[in-house]
Amino acid sequence: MGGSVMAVTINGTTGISLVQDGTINSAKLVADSVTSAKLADGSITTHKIADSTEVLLDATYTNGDATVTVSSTSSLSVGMNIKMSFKSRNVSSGNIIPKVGLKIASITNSTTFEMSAAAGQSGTDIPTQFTTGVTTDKLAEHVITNTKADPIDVQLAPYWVNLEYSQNGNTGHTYITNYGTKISASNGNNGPSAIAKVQGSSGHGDFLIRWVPGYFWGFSGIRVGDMAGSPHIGQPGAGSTQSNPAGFIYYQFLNNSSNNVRYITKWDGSSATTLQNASGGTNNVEWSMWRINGLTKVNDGTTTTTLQSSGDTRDYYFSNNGQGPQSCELKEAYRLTRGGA
Amino acid sequence: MDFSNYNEAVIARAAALCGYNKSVSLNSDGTLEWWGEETHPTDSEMNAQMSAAQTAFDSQVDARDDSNGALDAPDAD
Repeated sequence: MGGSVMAVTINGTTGISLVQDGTINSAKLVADSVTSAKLADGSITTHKIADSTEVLLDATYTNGDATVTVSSTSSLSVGMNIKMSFKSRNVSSGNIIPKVGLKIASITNSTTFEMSAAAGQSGTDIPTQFTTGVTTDKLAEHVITNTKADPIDVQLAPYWVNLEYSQNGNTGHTYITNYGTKISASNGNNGPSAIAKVQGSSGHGDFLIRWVPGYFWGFSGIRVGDMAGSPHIGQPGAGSTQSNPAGFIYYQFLNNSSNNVRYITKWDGSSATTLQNASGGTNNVEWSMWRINGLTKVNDGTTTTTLQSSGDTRDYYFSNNGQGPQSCELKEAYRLTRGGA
Repeated sequence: MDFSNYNEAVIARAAALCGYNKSVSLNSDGTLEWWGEETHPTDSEMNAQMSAAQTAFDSQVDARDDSNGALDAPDAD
């Protein structure tokens, strides 16, 4: 049928059940013709999103020109995201391409294509990454939280990060020493102090953390929370610790001289239980917490307490207790390969 | 009773004035945290000492270069 048909309404019950001949490609849809109102919520499922692909090629750029030359364009396609590869060599000044937003606008021939913007510097055989699928350009800054990050980037490690002041702490005091492994405050009872988080988190598998709590008037030691209950922990506005979140586990492994006790509590998501309140605080003694094959325990230098007898896969974060005077020195902290211990 | 208007160092001083020298702190809901101790000052006993504790705290703040009013604060450098 020749000519064109305008403003056709397809019966709302029948709809279009099949496009018989070929597919509807982007060329058949005018720009912006499919609006969000025309797609039902949840109608695009994960398996309908194309898998990401990645191609690494050496590319040659010319300052002020959008044309790029590569050995072959056969593996490239229009719309691919373009980034400098992490292997890229440096140039003396300026950026060859912007960090975000650059794409392949068109493919000219077997060795050249056009970018969506001109190069800012010239460069020959620059390692360049071309990607499809959901690229970083589609993600806002800082939306990747700890639980969504690459495990390598959130490995548990024995040093303090994300310091925040407590009890009127301020810059007039030094809280972190020993190359980042010790946090302490000695400024009177409930005097200026600080809280910090141990680098990384336990992950869902096996782990071990050892520390030496202080022996002062205030309670020293480790507090442990479930990352699932506090996914933005450590980010601006979220703080280094969130006590007793509703619906999520939270532990305290503490010690002091004034009560002279080893004090271990568990918040199960709705109520708190004292697991240990034993006379005799510890002075310069290592405590430890570990999980092997889903069995999680803590040792207070004298007694081992089982925190969960099986099936524990929580991704835990660790912080110190900020009640001064206090101290907590990290001795070691690491994730273990399941079955590796 | 809600003690959230007080600095925690003042609360520690009030407990000491009650003769209680163990650890005490402030919960997020303004109640006092006695860290599992069954024997400790009552809220009313603490409240009765808050004014004196605040005065002692303020006096120490004024006397020190670092404005630290906490009990047993070491001498400032």
